[in-house]
Amino acid sequence: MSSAYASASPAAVASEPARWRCPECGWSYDEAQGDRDEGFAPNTRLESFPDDWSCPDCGVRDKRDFERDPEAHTACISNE
Amino acid sequence: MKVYTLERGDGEPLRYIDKKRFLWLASLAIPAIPLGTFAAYFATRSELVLLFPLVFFYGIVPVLDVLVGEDTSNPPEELVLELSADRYYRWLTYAAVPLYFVTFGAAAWFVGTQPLSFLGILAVALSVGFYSGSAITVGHELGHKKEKLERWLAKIVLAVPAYGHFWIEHNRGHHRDVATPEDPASSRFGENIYKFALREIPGALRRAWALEKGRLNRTGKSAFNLRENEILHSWALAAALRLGFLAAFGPVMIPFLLIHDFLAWWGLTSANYIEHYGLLRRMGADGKYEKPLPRHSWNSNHVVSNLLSFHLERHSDHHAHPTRRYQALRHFENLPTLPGGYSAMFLLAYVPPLWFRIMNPRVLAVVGGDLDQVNIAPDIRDAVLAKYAGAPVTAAVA
Ligand SMILES: [Zn+2]
Repeated sequence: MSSAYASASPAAVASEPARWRCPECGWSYDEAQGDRDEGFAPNTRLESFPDDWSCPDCGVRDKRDFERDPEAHTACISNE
Repeated sequence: MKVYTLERGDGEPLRYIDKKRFLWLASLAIPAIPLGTFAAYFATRSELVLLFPLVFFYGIVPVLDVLVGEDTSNPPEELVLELSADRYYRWLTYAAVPLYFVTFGAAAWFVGTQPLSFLGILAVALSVGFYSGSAITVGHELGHKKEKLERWLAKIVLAVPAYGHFWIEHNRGHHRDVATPEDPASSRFGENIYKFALREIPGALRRAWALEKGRLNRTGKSAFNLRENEILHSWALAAALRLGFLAAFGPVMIPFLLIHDFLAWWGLTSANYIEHYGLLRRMGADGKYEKPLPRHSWNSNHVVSNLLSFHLERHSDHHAHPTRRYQALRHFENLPTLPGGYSAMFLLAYVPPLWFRIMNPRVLAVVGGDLDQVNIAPDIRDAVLAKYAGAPVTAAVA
């Protein structure tokens, strides 16, 4: 899951915008792009989301549950 | 009938036929029942026929649930993607949307133009109002989906019961907090449905608004932004409908609409009350509740009432996997199980002593008598602990 980032230094990992994915429903969030509907400006980090925020699609996972998206920066994930 | 198949490397391909494929038309047909009673009125000129929708839901469906029984079968997991992608099923939910408007409009016209007695008007308002509560079931199925069209249809159909805030609160409040004391839409052990309604109805409104306000404020927009606020979209349509009826049919619409809307909300309250009664998610060491699992909802496999509600009664899988489509919802073994379908359970809920007598032992059986796993109403907590601590667990879970 983190292999794409293995070559980067820890500092670079922290500053590099990441892409995340809801493990329940696949809703994905790209930190570089932000999310207009959710009110997150580009470069908003997942960790800065409100604690009571939950996944906009399934509602049953929050930021602590999200996983690094293995397909980061490559393809759109089908949500169906 | 359509056969779903999956080629497997060696041997026979996996095949599945959904035996309920065409029976799901029953969910779509629900709003046609009140329409049929208007026709029956013109044929008979008897106002009694206007009560038939309530007789059907509360009198006939419970009997059919007993006669037809339960179905615990599931589609094979490997074919769920194909089954979910079959657009036939979603077309049924799309088609239900205009039907609810037709029924609502026809009822307003009927009340506004026919020489009905006060009791006749009351019968229409109660019957159609309660059935407009089923529009929330349709909005529920649509509002859980990721596609923009389906979410818009959810907002539109929720204008019929004037409950546009439902899907915001439901998806991001109720699902997040289900089976915890924080959730106004999860009923507590020892809480009767009338007390629950006073917590649930205002609670849903308050939390929906707070959620939508929070979302809009994050980008510096006002909560009253009519373009962006998804609650206001649905409320605007609800208000326009009602003002239109008032202009067209006059002041008789005021009592009709008040009773209609209240009954629609009451239908939702009834469902919410029975869906998670007394169940509680455990708090982890990190101060976070465990994720919603199938055992945090009461399930029912009764065939008839499930076919009338887009599988709403397979509630356990729905809460564990909220975006799963209705035709693919599963039964699991050892779930908290309601002894009847929703029709029968609603009736039971309206008589609190009976409800407590039947459901309290089932709650205790589900948690093996461990009161730490029961969502208990705080005002009676001490009394419940005194009464049930160490009590033998007798009732069967399923
Ligand atoms: Zn999700």
